[in-house]
Amino acid sequence: MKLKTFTMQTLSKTTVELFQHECNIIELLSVGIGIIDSKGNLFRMNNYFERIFHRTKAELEKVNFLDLISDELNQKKQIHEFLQSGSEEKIELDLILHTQSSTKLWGHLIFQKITNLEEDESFYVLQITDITNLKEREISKFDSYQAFNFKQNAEEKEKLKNLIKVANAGTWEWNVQSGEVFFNERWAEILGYTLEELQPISFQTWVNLVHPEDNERITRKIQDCFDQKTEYFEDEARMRHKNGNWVWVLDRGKVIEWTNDQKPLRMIGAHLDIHTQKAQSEIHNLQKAKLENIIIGANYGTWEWNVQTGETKFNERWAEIIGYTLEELQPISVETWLHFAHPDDLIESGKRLQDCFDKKTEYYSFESRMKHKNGDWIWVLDRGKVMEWTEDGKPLTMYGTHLDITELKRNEFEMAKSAQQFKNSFQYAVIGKAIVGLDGRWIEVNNQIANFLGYQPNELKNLTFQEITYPDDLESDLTKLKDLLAGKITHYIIDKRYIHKSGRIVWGKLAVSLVRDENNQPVHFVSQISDIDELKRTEQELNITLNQLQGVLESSTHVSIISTTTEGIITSFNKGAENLLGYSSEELIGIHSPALIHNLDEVLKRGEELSEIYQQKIEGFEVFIHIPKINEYETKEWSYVRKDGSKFPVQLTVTAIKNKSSEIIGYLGIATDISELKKAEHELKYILNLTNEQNDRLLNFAHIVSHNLRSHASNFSMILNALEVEEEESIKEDMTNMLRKASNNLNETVQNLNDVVLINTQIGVAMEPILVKDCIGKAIENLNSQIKYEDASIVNEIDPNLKVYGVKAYLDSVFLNLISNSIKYRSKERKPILKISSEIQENRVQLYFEDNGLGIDTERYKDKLFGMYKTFHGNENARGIGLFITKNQILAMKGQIDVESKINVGTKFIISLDYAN
Amino acid sequence: MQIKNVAIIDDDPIFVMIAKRIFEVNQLCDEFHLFKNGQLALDFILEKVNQQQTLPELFLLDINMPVMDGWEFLDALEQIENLPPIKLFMVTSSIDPKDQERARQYKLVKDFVVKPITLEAIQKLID
Repeated sequence: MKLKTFTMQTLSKTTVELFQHECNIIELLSVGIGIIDSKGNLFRMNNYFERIFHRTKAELEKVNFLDLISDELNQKKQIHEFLQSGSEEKIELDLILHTQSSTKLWGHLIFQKITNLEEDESFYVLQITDITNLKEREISKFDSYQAFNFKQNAEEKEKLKNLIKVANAGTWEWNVQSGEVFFNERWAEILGYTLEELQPISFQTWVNLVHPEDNERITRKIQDCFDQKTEYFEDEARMRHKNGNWVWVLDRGKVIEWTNDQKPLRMIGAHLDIHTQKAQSEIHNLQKAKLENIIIGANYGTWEWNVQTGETKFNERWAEIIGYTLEELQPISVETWLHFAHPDDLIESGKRLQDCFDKKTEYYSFESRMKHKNGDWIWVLDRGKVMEWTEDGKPLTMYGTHLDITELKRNEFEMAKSAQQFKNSFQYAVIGKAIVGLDGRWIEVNNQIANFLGYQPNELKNLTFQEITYPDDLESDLTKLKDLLAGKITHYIIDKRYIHKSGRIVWGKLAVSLVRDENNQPVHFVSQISDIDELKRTEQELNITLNQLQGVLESSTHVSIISTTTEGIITSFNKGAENLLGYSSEELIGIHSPALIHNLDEVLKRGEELSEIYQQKIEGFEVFIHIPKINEYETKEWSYVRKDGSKFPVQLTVTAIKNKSSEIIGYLGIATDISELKKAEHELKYILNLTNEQNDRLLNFAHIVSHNLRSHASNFSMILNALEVEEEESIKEDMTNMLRKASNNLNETVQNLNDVVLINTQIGVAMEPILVKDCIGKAIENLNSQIKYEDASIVNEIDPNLKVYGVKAYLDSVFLNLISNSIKYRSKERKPILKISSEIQENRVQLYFEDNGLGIDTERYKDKLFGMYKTFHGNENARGIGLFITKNQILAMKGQIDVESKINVGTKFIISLDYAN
Repeated sequence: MQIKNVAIIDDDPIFVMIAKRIFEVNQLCDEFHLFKNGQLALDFILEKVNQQQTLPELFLLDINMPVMDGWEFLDALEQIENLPPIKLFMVTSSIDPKDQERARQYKLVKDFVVKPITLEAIQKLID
């Protein structure tokens, strides 16, 4: 039993979970071992408790131990005061236990404080042994009380009275024949009454107060006395106390007077409150007997030693522990013990014995080594007590026990070793480790945690984690803790802030798990904390920087910023990207790659280009990052595709994001919407083209003007010079006609030039939707006579509702010219056919004029076909002005004209104009 | 007669008539080959070359003509193998320096004459 106390003392509470293991051993001892706190709450116990109290552990844990004991002996207060005092002393007492069963149970209890616990709270080891049988024997010792030697002489009577007084017994006297009964005041007091309260007193008073079960038995015993079978009776009886409880009294009585016919006349007796009466001398006997009882139950070796004579006795078990029979050890003396004891232990054991002899300690207790027969050193728990003293205060007899604790010792060493290992791994861990109570108190902390939080380990142990958690982070921690206690999770890891002793905030990564006992009840938390303060601060700084950057860029709705992992999964998607692309960041982050917002064809095309350049297959996300991986970044124009499918041009810069070690950890794509830019570029190109075209036309015009006007002027000049020298009249007349013709030609040329100038200066003239088919019909009508003359067939396939933007007069002129040309340059070999059709392409209308005429060598005349004064067929009537005018008119209507032709097959003019839908 | 025959390749009837008259009146030449475009002139030359007959002593070539203009004619002429040496002048109303420069690229072209053409100019060509 002491061993267990010892073990509990030496082990840190951190290994309390190993308790069960010990308990299993303890079970063998038929001793109840439990842990009790200063308030009397039992929270750890072995199964023996269940057997004693006939209750389960769970039930027992709910009650206060003080409620489990009877206060008949007024010991509750004593126990209570002891527990409160925090005394390191041990107390032992015998008391009556409240059990679920009806039988009376006596227990021997030992309370001892568990030392070495760095706790505010005090804990005690409670050992409990059932000593009911012993108690019964003890009671029989009342024989030794002289009070119950019923001698009839006056002297004896007086002595009896005194002894009764000393013994504080209640007395009674009964006239058996008359029925008169007398009690003394003490008799009533034992039951909580005054004598007066019990009046009128009769035999019935006793009958009313005694327990019915006991009444019958005692009545029978009294009858034996009357029949003179016994001299006196003695029994324990339960009597009803005023407070309603049953109290035990020892009731003894004897017939002291007889009638002449030998009937009992007077009987006297005593009631003894058996819980309050304890003669000191009886205790020794009691304890000796008690030890014997324990010894039998627990397989103790025993020894008895007459300290004065050296006479020694061992039991068989004592010898057996060291591998011998008692017989083998004969002759037995104190030398026998000295022979087997370990020499190194003798000094200490001698010292402890001396303490007992000097009454410094009540008990001798020592764990010592003894030589086993097989040569091994075994461990025994040696306990003893001086039971008798000589008159001059010297120890006379000493009794003791040996218990083989070799196995326990080994377990203890191993536990100590594993505890030490645990402690080492705990104390010297790289990261902070702590054992945290269910209430949040730091039970054990290692130096890392202490350093991290700026406290001394002992300072920290006076705090709870709640007190030094940054308030904003407490809630989430506690929520997790609840889940852990509820068994919803086995552990959790969170990043949280602690308040350093200096007041500053420090970031830690906390991992918490829960240790449960064998009954699955939470015991404590094991926490690991790593210092991530610098990491967090760096991260925060980075975030601030990123946020600032983000903030700047967020303000622009035309900048899309998308970051991805190295594999291409989108990790951020800014406001600009949301605005431009119509997706929300939630839809894309962690799910999609930027492929979603790109045009597949463009990506494939770019992939092929890159594959060609780098001579390796480049596809998918690699298309975007292949160059950034090599050159840090790449800027390129792409099309982005909005959520609604529409596209817009962007200039995208893809940058590789690198960490401190220059490893690529992701990519950043910053894209600007260049729609406006592109539009401007298109416009610029258009204007440039227009300018070039106008320049060309101007040049061409200048050339035409100079050339044609000069040709006429030179003709005038030549004719006039010729006329001067010409003598033949007929020729003179011809020349005069030529002069007239030249004049007409000049007029016509000036007229044509004027027309062209008009068309060109009217660029941008207001255009209107014009029904194409009507307009063509009108031209056909105007050319009707020619068409009929040449037997031409004109197929007008234009949709009657088709409208184009144009200038009516120009369109009339264009159609007239094209139809008339197709007739003019018909093939003599076949019937002329002109097919007119249309096609709508997006916002443009293509008009086709396809004939089966002579055709033009487009390779040869491409540049000249629409030029001024260009003729190709040597036709006398060709003026070289029609197509020139036509082209100018079409350009003025923002249209285009083109030609496809094969000689002797036909010509196809293609006009494109804005569609008026 | 200073020369035997002259070829005028021009689609302008007025120029052709007056030029011809200048030659006739001044008895510079009495045989004329007149072509309205380059193609007709080319056909004539090819035939002469094939039949190993002599070509006109002087060619006056306009630029702007239908069917085949002056430039095309010159290109075609350059392609003719065993073409005997000929005396060819561009005679045009163009005063565009580009045309003059272009004319200079052709070895066949002796000179570039701007209309109106005068007797003095023609005499100079003949000499």
